Amino acid sequence: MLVLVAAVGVLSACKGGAMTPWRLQQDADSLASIAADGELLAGETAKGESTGPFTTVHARELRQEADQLADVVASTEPDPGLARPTAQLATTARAAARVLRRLEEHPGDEDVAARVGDRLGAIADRAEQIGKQA
Amino acid sequence: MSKPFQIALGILAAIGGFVDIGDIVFATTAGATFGYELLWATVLGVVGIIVYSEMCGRVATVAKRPVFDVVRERMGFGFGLATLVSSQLVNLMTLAAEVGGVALVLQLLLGLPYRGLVAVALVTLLLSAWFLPFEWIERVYGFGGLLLIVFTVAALKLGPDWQQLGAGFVPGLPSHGTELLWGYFIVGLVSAALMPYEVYFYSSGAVEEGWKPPDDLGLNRLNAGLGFGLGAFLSISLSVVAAQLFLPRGIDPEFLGTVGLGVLNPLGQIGLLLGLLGIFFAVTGAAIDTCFSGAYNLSQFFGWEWGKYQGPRGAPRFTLTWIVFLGLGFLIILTGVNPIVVTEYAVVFSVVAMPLTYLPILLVARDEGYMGEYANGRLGNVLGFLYLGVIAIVALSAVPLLVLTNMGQG
Repeated sequence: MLVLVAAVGVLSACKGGAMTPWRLQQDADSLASIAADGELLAGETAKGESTGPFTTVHARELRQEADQLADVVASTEPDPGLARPTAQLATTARAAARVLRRLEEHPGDEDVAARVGDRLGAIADRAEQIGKQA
Repeated sequence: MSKPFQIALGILAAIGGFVDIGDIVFATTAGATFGYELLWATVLGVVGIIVYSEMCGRVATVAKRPVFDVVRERMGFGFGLATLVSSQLVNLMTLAAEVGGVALVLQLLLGLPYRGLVAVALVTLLLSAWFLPFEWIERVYGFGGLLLIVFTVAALKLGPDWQQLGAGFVPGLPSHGTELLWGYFIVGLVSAALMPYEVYFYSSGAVEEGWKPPDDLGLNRLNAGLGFGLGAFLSISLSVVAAQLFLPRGIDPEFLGTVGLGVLNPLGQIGLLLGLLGIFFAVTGAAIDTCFSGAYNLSQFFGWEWGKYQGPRGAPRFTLTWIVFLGLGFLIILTGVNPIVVTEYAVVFSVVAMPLTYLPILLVARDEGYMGEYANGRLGNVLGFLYLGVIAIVALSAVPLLVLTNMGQG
C-alpha cells in the first residue's frame, strides 16, 4: 500500500499529461491562490508592517510555486477547445512569478510593494476568469 | 513546584501533537478550505488523546511502566515489533519534518539560506537535548510554544462570526469542497491529535518526573486535560484565523509564510514576530518529543536503561539512540524533501501504529489485577472502547483517502 501511495505521489508531481477542464480549473484556482497570497503579503509590506526577511522568503516561495505551475501548465496537451485558456494560464502564471520576484528583490520598498499588490490582485482575477472557461 | 510548571509535560506533549510543523499548516488549510466546519474534528481528536494520555499517565504513575513496556508485554514480541517498526518510521519522518520546520521558521525570521539553517536547527536541538534537564526542556519549549496564543488574539481581532463558529463544533456535511476532501481533513485532524508519539513521550515523561500515586494522579489528570486542551485550542485558533482571512480570498495555505500572514495582517509586525517565535518553540519542542520518543521506544522494547534523568553514563544506549535519530532526521531533510509534505504523510501513516499502541494501554488501564484501585472506572472503559472504534475507522480510511484526494489536493 505504501508503494502505491508513493507511486501516486510521484505521478501526481509529474509534468505534462492532458489538460482537462477539471485540471484547468484546479490549476487556475492554484494560480489565483498564489496571487491572492502574494497580494496579501504585498499589502502588509506596503503598509510597512512586514519584515524584510519575511517578505523576501515568502515572496520567493510563492514565486517558485508560480514558476513551477507555469512550467507544468505549458507542458500539458490541452483537450480540444482548451488550448487558448491553457496558454493564457501559463502566461499569467509567468507574469505572477515576475511580479513576485520584484517583491522578493525589494522587500523594503513600500511603493514597489503597493504596485505589486495591485498587479497580483489583477492576476488573481484573471486566473479566476480563465478557470471559468474550463 | 507551582501549578503552571507542573503541567509543562502535558503542554509539551500536546504541542508536539497539535501544533507541530505539519499540523500548523494542516489546521490552517482545514480552516481555509472548510471554514469553521471542521472544528468538531479537532474536539473529537482532543477528547480521545485526553482519555488515552490520562490512562497511560496513570499506568506510568502506578506501575512505573511507560507505553512501550506495556505494548511489548501485552501484545507479545511479534505485534510489539510491528508496533516498534511502524512507530519508529513515523517518529523518524516526523522528526525530519520538524528539523526542516525549525529551519523554515528561522528562515522567515532571519532570511538566511535554508540549508545552513537546517544545520543551526540540528545544533540547537542537540544542545537543548544534551544540556537542558528534562523539566527545563518541557518549560522552555512547552511554554515558549504558548506564544502561539497570538493566533487566538488574531482570530478575535479578525472578528469571527460567533454563530457559525459555534455551529462548527457540531458535526455536519460540508458546504465547501467535496465529501472525500472533507473525509481526508477529518482523518488528518483526528490522526494528528492521536499521534502515538504523544503517549510514548507523555508516559515516559511521567516516569522521568517520578510521578507517584496517589498524589500525582491529580497532576496526571491536569496535564492530560489542560495540556492537551491547550494544544487543541491553539490548533482551533489557527483554523479560525484561516477561515476568516484565507477562505474569503481563495488562498490555499501551503507554506509556513502564509500561516505567518494570519497574524501579520490583523496584528502587524509584533504579531508576526510573536507568531513566528511561537512556531519556533512549538516545532523545536515537537522535534525533541519525537527524538526522545524514538529513543524511549527502542530502549523500552529491548529492555535497556533509559531516561534523560539518568544522564549519558546512566543510559548510554538511550543517549546514543536519540543522537543517531536526530542525525538521521537531519540527513533526511538535507535531501531536499519538503518538511510539510513529509509530516502530512507521517500523520496519515501513523494510523498503522495507532491501534497497536492504544489497545494495550486500554487493556492494562482497565486491568484491576494490574492497576488495583487505580484501574479504569466505567466512564474510562466506555470512552476507551469508543475511541478504539474511532481509531479503527481512521486507520482503515486514512490511506484510501490520501490516494483518492491526492493528499488533500482535491
